[in-house]
Amino acid sequence: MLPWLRPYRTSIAAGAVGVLGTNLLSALGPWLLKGGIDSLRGDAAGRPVWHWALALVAAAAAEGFFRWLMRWRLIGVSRDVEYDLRRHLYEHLQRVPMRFFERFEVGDLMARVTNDLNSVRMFIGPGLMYTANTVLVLSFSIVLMLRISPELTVIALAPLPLVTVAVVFVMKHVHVRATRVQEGFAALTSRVRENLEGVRVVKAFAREDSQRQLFAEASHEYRERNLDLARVQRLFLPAMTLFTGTAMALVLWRGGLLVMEQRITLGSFVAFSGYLALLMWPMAALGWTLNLFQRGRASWFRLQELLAEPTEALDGAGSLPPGDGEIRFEHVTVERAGRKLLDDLDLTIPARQLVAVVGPTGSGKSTVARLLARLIEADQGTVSLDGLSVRDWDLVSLRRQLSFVPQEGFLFSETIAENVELGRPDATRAEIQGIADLAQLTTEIQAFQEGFDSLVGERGVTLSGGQRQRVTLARALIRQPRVIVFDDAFSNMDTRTEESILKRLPEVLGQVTVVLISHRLATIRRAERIVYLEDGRVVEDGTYEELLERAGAFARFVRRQRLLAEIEAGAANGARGDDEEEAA
Amino acid sequence: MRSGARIGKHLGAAGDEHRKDAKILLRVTDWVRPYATPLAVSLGLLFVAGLLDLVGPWLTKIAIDQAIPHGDRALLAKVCLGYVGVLVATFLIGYVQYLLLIRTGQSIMHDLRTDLFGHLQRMGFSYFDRTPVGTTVSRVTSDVETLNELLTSGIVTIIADVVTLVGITIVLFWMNPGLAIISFAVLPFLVGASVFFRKKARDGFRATRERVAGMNTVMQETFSGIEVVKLFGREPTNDVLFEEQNAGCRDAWTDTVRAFSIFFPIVQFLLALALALILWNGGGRVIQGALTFGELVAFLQYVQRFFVPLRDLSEKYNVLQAAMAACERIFGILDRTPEEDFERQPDLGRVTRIAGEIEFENVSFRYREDEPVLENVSFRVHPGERVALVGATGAGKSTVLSLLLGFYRPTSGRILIDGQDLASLDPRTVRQRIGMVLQDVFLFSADVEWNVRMGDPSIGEDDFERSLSTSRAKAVVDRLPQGKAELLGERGRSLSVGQRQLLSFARALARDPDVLLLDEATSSVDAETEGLIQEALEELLRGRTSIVVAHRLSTVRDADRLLVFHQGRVAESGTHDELLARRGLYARLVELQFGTREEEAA
Repeated sequence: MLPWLRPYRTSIAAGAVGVLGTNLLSALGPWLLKGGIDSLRGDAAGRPVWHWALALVAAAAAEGFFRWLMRWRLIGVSRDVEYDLRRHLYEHLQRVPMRFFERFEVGDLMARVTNDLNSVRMFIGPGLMYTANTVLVLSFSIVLMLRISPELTVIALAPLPLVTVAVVFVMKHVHVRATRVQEGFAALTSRVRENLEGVRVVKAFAREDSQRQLFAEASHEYRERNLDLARVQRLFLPAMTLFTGTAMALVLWRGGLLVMEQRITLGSFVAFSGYLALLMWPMAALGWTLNLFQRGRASWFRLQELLAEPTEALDGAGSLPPGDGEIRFEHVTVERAGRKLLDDLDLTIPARQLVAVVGPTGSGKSTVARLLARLIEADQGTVSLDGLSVRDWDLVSLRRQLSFVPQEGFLFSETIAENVELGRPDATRAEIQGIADLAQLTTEIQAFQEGFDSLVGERGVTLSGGQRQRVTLARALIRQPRVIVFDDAFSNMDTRTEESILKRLPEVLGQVTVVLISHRLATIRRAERIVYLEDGRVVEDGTYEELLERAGAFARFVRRQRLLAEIEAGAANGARGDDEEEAA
Repeated sequence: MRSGARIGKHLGAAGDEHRKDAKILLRVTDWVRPYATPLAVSLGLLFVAGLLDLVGPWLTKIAIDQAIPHGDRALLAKVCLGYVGVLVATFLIGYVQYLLLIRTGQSIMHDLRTDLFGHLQRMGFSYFDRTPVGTTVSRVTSDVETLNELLTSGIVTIIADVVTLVGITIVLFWMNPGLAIISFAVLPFLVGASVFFRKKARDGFRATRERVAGMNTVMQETFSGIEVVKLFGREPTNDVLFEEQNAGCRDAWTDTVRAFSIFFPIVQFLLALALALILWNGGGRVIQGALTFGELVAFLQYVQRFFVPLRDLSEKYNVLQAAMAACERIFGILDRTPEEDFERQPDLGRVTRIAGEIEFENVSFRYREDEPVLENVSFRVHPGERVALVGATGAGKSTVLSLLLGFYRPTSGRILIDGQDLASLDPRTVRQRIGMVLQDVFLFSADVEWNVRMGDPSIGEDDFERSLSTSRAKAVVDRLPQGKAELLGERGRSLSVGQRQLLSFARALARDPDVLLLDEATSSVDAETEGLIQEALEELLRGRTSIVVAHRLSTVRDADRLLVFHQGRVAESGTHDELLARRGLYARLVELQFGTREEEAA
């Protein structure tokens, strides 16, 4: 944790001065009170009472300054460190490889960056500050108390170890019970979640009453556990009052006797009660800070777990030199959870070719596309672009030369123009309009009140599925990549739209390598070559006609697709889908 | 300009806030009222504890004024014993009061939670389809939790503080009005500082909340769309967006920290000033003989106690603010009129048995205005008949089942059950006579028996055992270490898909339904389980009116009649053989769905 604190050493030093001053002066308070009271006894040699009163005010003013310095610097530093850590975490998490996101859910990540970071901050700020306060004020007070009366000091502080024992005892029992409360809360949560997710079953069986009962049981259990915790936890403060009060009673008794015997002054006696009042809160805080420390430690480790993941080398290696866009997969194997997504795959796509990659769900089509952009890494084999292994080059430069259009493109809650600009930040408005025109968005965008500057809402909710897909498309096309991959990117558009977009592609992009992943026959037919995948291997490879003639897996696939199209087109009266007919 | 600056600017005018807060508090009293007695006792004890708190300095005064000057050791001992006695009493009363209060608070939360949950049970699908599960979950759990804070840490400690403050004020004025006025001379400054600080703190907390919300939005979007972020190299842009919120958050906190770091020393200084005033002025009075030493010391101690409650003012304020917001969200749900509040509609007919005559009369349905799901569907199912629904995905088959169960109302047309319009019946009584097997089996994290009974105590032991053996689930249950008492993990993940299906058959059979609705699962299971499922299905459907969304060839073959759905309409109907012979839509569907399988078998 130290490296994070180092930049703020000046502030921390100033804060430390504040801590020292605050506690020294607050320990001085009862001492001055003692002087004031003793002066009233008409001790001729002593100072008049107003001197003491003035000293009290002056000390308080100075203490106020130091207290301000302490809080302002130390709590401020904790906020600064929180800011630094949060920034570091966020930037780190943006740059870890995709496989990291298979292990951590979004909710978990958010919880760590918010809750755990907060626990760490609580430890750095209030935790350390109050611990230092307790130690210092205790030390200063003991020194001054010893000067007044060693005997009374021993008596007054005798119950204090009890406080520590009580803290340890309570913390131990609280911990077990607090865990049970948390588990109870989790059970309660999963009851509600289950009820909502299984609402169709609950309603279909009209068993709302049993659900209520289950929930009431969980809720009741949670209540009981809370009470169980409270029984121990709520013992703490009253017990603290009891112990410090006992110390007060002891001082009252023994101190009173000492005053009677004239071994101490009345002022000393009053000062002692002042010290006990002063020490009560720091002693109570000790238990609290212990808790902060435990939580902060656990949270710190959870954050370290995130930071332990190495980031992708975004700009480590050199930039990928430009090329024509030849893609080569050599003996590529990818395994996930014991399943081979790709199994010793060999595949070459020459530059500027339009290739369709076809196959049943789970055959590895998307994996091919994702490997190319290094969203995932091959376990074995090499993937290369224009003869250069994709692993050897700067990721940003690699990804800049590729466009990958997924079926469900994620849109950011910005304007349409900003979402398209993501493809190329320096694109002019004219270029954006040109691309939008190609993506057949223009008419629809004009219908929006603010045109290209209309906000699309979270994940693009204000757009229809087809519109979202076409914005995603425009975003990919404007990059002018050397390789473009369409991963089922036309599924929410009718075939006519798709056709005209594909036809106009060369106008905008020139001749580039195009990989089409699709189920649609009309799309597939446009390809110069078809690669048919099954279980992560290439089973057939050739032109549309060649593969049909072979009457193998691809031919069966085509037959099924035709049937599906006929059914979709309403084959009850024997009519066939018009574009498919053209294709067949 | 990027979206960062646009994030979170939605807080209303501050003027209305107090009125709104008052209104919310008034509504909370509905749940507090049943606990008026324990709450009153708790408050009474709190009052006593507050008074006992005042005794300590008073005893000190007696010790200084009476015991010490006269060397009265006996009196001193008595005073000390009295002091200890008061301490023990304070401890006991304080503890009992705390527990009583916590119990009351927890009970109120329990009631509120169960009321909220019960309210949700009466909601219709218009709510469930549109509200993310996570949102509702946090209303019932975390928001209620936050509200608890309002009661136990917020309101009650404020009452306790007021008792202490008023008590001390009275005692001081009673002892010496002149010195009391001097002691309170700093009070206007204290109030002034508090008011100023309260405003600062409120502004600060509001600003930080906005920034935290902004950061969460950016993070959520980044992590959800991480793939696009990576593909398009958006990291630097996101860094800037996040930085804006993060730095804003830090600055907002810094403002708040600054306010706090000034406020605390001011309170502390004002306390010292008050003490100095008492010492100086009171000291003068002591010398004149107008005040005893003991009274002076008591004054000093009382004034110190007076300042304690002011120390954690900010924390209380924070708790209160959060609780108000949580309350508002909870009432947001309670204020929605539940669609399925059938108990309050006594004119609805109640069904005790369904003979099995089911008719759809020109039924159309759409979830959304522009998305027709069913269009003008009419068909009739006779008692004891087995009807299979077939068609492509999205043709409207499952919707037929949902409508029949009354999950949704038809947009137009009628559904008749034994000649009675479903709209005039209490759908829950209809649902009780219908057995439903859903495509995805949903199991609850309870034991096997509970899952089969669905917690219904009216299902007898015989019915339960019979349902297990008839559905072939008995083999599954017998193999479990704890048998029917085996606890199933979340969603029954410990069981295989096939085992879960058999359990869902048992669940449907346990209540011996008159009509069976079955949405066949598409996922494949091992050969042995498949055999069991086939047997069980036969038992399940025997002698019952049934409507099956079919995915198995055997199911369609054995059906009395098939309804072929196409784009929300019934396109063809007849038996398997009749329809195959017609060589229309159905023939193609069969070829598509089962064609490869038959090919492979051949």
